[in-house]
Amino acid sequence: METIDFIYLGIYTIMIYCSVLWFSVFFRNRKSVYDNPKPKRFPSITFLVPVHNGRKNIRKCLDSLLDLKYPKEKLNVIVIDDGSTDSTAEVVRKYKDVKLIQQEHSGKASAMNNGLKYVTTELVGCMDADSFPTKDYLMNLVGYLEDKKISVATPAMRVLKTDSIPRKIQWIEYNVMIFLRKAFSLFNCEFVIPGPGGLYKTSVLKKLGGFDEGNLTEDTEIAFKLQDHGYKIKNSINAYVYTDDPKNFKSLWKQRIRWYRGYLQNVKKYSHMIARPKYGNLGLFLLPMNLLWIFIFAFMLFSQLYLWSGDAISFITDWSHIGFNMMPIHFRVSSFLDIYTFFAITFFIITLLLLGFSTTYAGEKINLRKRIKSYLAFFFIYPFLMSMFWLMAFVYEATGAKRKW
Amino acid sequence: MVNKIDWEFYLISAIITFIILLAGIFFGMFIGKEKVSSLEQNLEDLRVRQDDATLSFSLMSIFGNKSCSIIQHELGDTMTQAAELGKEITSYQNEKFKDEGYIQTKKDYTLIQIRYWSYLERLKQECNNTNFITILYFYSGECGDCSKQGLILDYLKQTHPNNVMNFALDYDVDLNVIRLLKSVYNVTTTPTLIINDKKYTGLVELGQLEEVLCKDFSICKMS
Repeated sequence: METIDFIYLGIYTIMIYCSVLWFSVFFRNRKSVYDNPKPKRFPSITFLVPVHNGRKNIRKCLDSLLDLKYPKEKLNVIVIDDGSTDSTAEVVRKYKDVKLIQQEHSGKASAMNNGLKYVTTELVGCMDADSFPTKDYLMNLVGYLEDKKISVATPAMRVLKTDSIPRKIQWIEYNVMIFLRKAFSLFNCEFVIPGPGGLYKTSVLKKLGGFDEGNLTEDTEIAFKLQDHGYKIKNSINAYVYTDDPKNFKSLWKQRIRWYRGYLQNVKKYSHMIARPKYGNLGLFLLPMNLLWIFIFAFMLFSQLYLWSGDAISFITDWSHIGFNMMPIHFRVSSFLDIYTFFAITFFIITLLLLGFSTTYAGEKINLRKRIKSYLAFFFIYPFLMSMFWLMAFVYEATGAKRKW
Repeated sequence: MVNKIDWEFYLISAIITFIILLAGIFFGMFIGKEKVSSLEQNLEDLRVRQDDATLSFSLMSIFGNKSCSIIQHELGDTMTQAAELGKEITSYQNEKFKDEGYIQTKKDYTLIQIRYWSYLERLKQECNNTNFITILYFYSGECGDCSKQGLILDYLKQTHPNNVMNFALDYDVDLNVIRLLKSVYNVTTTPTLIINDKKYTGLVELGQLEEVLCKDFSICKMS
């Protein structure tokens, strides 16, 4: 056993610990996972829909909002046109029940802050123009906010299309996120309020000054800010909002670099919360653990590359000494059987359980035959993708590269 | 505002993780032990074959030169089998949870190897038409060139299956007979080859070996 073996055992211990923790949190609450508090009253709500050149999607978004199962007189919609150069404004004007505000192109956060000024209702919700909620979304969500301590409720994000490899991978990933977000919620450590579909108490949002306009990911920032001030966040596993995810690897790259840089940026801004029991499970456990995972990803990526390339180089060097002639290679099964086999099997089982539970609790059928490409793509490509995304996001943040939206 | 910490989840998860980790370690140790057992079993088979060879060899004094080619053939066969076992034993060196029985297994194997070598040396003396060379190859764990030398010798064996008899010996094995060989041939580093009594220190390349085979022993590559 060499040093590297001990490091890997340590890494495996951490990975297993996290998996066991989230499984136990979910397991303990498994019977009440689908239960949402039934709303005793129906407060008035305004939905803010910031949009920039969203002519294609905004109709579906507005139609779904206006069609939500909720008293119609309590529901308002404000669209903030963030300097669109297409016919978005014209499309919106056709909706009599929707108020339109126009501003110069200054970003999503500033659009929402602009719209927030006009909000007089008790609750305010956010919706992206390329996303749309299902009919029951609001009824499943609004009950959570009746508790005085809860200031925001988050939805379950889903994606519709799986017409490309990146989308197939994301379909699985979003299911896993539905599962994990509920687990985070049960453990009081949610750290992202998804842009599409977050439902806030207006007074709290205004008191905290709305959204951070300089931030790459204002939806993470607002979650951190709320937790920092002691406000609670809760999630409904069946308040569904469908969103448009990147179709190709290039746009996926851009999106994830922005997301993960934003996360790191916010961790830095709220670093006083790390490892502090005062900030509950978020500060004590989740924040340090997420940072640790980034290092784990980076370490595993580099050490695997280093070891494989080292082996390849010595193999070719040795081979050159016999003039690159062929020799039969005897494969012994026993040489591959050791303690790492145990952990490979363990992680395989954990992944199967995670995928199985996530898909089921996200309200989907596992459908192995139909979705086999998605599962395989996720299993083989996703870990590598994630390592790359997080590594590059860290590098960009550390070297202070220019921030792009 | 102090938030609730769910200590019981942290604790239960730690306990379960610890149990899984222990299971993994026990699995690793079990595998290490099982591999040695399997090596021991193969070694036992080899010992029986060697008893067979020893007996055949001792009968040579009765049958004389008539038995030379058969015995050479038999020894060659058994040694191919022994070489396979030798590779498994060497690769056990990298095992994560080495069982102590491994050291004894390695010693047993080395003794079997050297016994075969001694038979072949006697065969060369007592028979006229022997057309093989013996190569004693001293290697060690920290030697950089040893993986290359091992591969070269394996390839040489593959191209001259009946003419080259390799014996890979671990320089650091704690045996009197190893110390004897090291002293007699003055072996101080690895890799060192003893080809039919002649010492070659350092990495010997394939071309050089084939030249030695051809010039000194008339075993040349067929064109």
